[in-house]
Amino acid sequence: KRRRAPPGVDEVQRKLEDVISRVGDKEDGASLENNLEKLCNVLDQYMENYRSNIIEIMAGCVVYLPEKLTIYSTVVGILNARNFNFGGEIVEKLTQILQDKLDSGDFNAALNVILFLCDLGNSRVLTLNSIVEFIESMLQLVFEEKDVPQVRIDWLIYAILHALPWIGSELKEKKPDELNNILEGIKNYIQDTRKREYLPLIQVWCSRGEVTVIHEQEDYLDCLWAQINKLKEDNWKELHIPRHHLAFESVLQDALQHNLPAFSAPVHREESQYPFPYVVFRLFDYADCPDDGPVLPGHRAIERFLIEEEIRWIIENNGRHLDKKSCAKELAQYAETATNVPIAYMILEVVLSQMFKLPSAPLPQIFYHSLLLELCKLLPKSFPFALAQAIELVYQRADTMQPIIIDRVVDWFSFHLSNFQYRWSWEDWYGSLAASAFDPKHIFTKEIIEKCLRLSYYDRLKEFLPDNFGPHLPPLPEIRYTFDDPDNEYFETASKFSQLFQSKATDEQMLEALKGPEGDYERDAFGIFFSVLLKLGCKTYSHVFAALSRYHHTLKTVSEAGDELQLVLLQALYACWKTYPQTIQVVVDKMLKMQVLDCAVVFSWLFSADMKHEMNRQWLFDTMNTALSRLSRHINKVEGEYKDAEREFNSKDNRIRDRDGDEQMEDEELFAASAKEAARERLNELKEKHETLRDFQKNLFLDIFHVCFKSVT
Amino acid sequence: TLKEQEIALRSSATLYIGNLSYYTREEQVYELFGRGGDVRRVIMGLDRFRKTPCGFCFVEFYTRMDAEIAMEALNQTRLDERTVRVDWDAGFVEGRQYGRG
Repeated sequence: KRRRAPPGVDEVQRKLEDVISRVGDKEDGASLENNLEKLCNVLDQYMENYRSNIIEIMAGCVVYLPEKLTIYSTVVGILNARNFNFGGEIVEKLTQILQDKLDSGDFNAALNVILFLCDLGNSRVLTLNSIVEFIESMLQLVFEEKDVPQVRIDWLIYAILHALPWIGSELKEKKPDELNNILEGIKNYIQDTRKREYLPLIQVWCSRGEVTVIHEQEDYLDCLWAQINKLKEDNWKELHIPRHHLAFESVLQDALQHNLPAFSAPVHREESQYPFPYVVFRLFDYADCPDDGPVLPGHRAIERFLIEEEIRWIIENNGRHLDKKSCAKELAQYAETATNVPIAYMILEVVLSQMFKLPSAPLPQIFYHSLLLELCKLLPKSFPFALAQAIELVYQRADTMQPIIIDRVVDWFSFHLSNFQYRWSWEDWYGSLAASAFDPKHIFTKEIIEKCLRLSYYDRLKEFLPDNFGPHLPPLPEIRYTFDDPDNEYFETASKFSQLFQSKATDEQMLEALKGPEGDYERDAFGIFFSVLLKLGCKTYSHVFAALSRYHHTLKTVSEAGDELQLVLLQALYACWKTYPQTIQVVVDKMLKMQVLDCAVVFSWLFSADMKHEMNRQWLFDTMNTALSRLSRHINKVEGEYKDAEREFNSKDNRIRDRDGDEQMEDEELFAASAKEAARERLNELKEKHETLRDFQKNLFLDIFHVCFKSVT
Repeated sequence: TLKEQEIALRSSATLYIGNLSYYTREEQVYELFGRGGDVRRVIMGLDRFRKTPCGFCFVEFYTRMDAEIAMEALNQTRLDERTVRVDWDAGFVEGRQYGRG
């Protein structure tokens, strides 16, 4: 249809997009009411010829600009009052979008639509009756759906609770009984039905012994439920949502209203994914923020929740494109409008809550790290200060922090420091260095220094750390190689291998030299061979990698002869590079990829008695986690290929069936049958590969639990 | 051709890193860019005659996705007190490590 439109339609479309999406951006100094009125007049002119475009654009703004939600609900209200059909059509469109977003699992976008629809009750587009019924139909599912995951039900409850700040006041006034019923239903679910066994696993902080956490790590629904109850106590009056419709009361009050259809849930399938539960991350109290600035809303204040949700949305929406610049820019713009709260503290708290999310953050860690750098640049007056305070609080509370989160902080802050010339009040952390090696604060400081070293170099480290840190500096990172000492008992063997390397011996010659009199591979010889290789390649990683791939066959052949020979490699690597764990990590990773080492052997080595003194080191856990995530990635890839092959196979199946009864297609049919056979073979191959990998992974996890358990008992 | 070059750039998993300090070592590049994802290899740019580092390198990732993460996050951040410039590269070919000759 659009193609046949008169020329210039693109310009009109662009103009409409521009005026609609920019409304409320406050640039011309006119009052917002004026601007809304102006926008409505412009849209009225185009309503006849461009109605579907307007609806399309407006719906897009509802989904992707939730911070302007009440602006658009007011505009739709005014337009509906002038033109009843327009209101009906946009509601219809939004209901459709809601269904699509739910079906495709985009719950954030679906939530934005639900909030908007509820707010249309305030701007007199929808009847309050139908909104109540909409919410009731959601709640009904909570009690009717059986054998579905709790996360699915949780989301429904979350969406209802989330909508109440918008429509609660209106419901309280006009539908008090219905509102109470809804709240009663939610209460029953939250207090009686809902399970929370997972909670300790996802808490960033947990009390340990005598040390109790400063901020309770509350489940997100429990916290929101408490905030809604507080809002109810406050008579549903909140201070955050701009109620633009109030200015247009006289226009809106006589409008004809539409009915919102009941909520229809997406079909639940075995593979359906729902948002994970999380804890409400709190770092700051009102007392942590500057005295002369605005006050931080309390833990139970609905305003805290509403602002956090808007910040989270900005981060996630921009994060999809990994765009740190536009994300920081939007956050800075948001900060400008939010002048009644200490916004830098709130933004930082939300960024950290995402970064520290367990089991994993929604976006790559490095995205948050660089986003924080950008924010320091864009909000130079407030942000760097809040950030320094945050890191100090994290340090103070390190002893109640989950170890994996300490690791994340270490990675972030070392990167952050490397962007600021490593300037930091290091002296404040001096005390932790004298503490025991397993003290969390000690680990925190030591690992940050270690990671700063990796990003810089040894002399630089000595420069930026205070002089009294001298005794606590990490050892000089260099290879420890002792076989070139003529007094060493393996001096001869090492010289022999050294010569073999230098004369570019073949794999066969190397393998021959590694054999003992019995014809099997000798452990000592293999260890020395590997040490010599590391020594020859010690200049850069490229050198080591070149040597590894040159003698890949030798390494693989020998290490396949037994786990104990792989262990020899790891021990030799450790002996050479224990002063520089980065090299250990990189080389282990490489050899895992080259299939010279086996994951299970690496793990039992990491947690063996030999390595007990390294159990407080981050590199050890980094090495393990890297190996595990590489494996999961590989499995996901194979799973994807398997699913593709399955789809292809099924589609071939259908094509053959479609042709049944058509005799003239014999040749083609034969061809199709053989193609089908090939697809079946490929499918089976992939299925087997996938299953093998899954079993391997399962056993590996069991192994890890086993070795970890052994090492703590 | 220009078009081939464009296609190569759009599917590449290799980054060109410029404005490095001459003293920056390969390990540092591994540490920084390894934070973006799984690095296959780093190729340091060398002076054609002296064979010493001369301020650029290539970082090759295993996947395009990891390269994108590193590209977006690490462009214009600092390494050895210098603001590094990160760009897409069509893929490393032997010989390209020599600059300024």
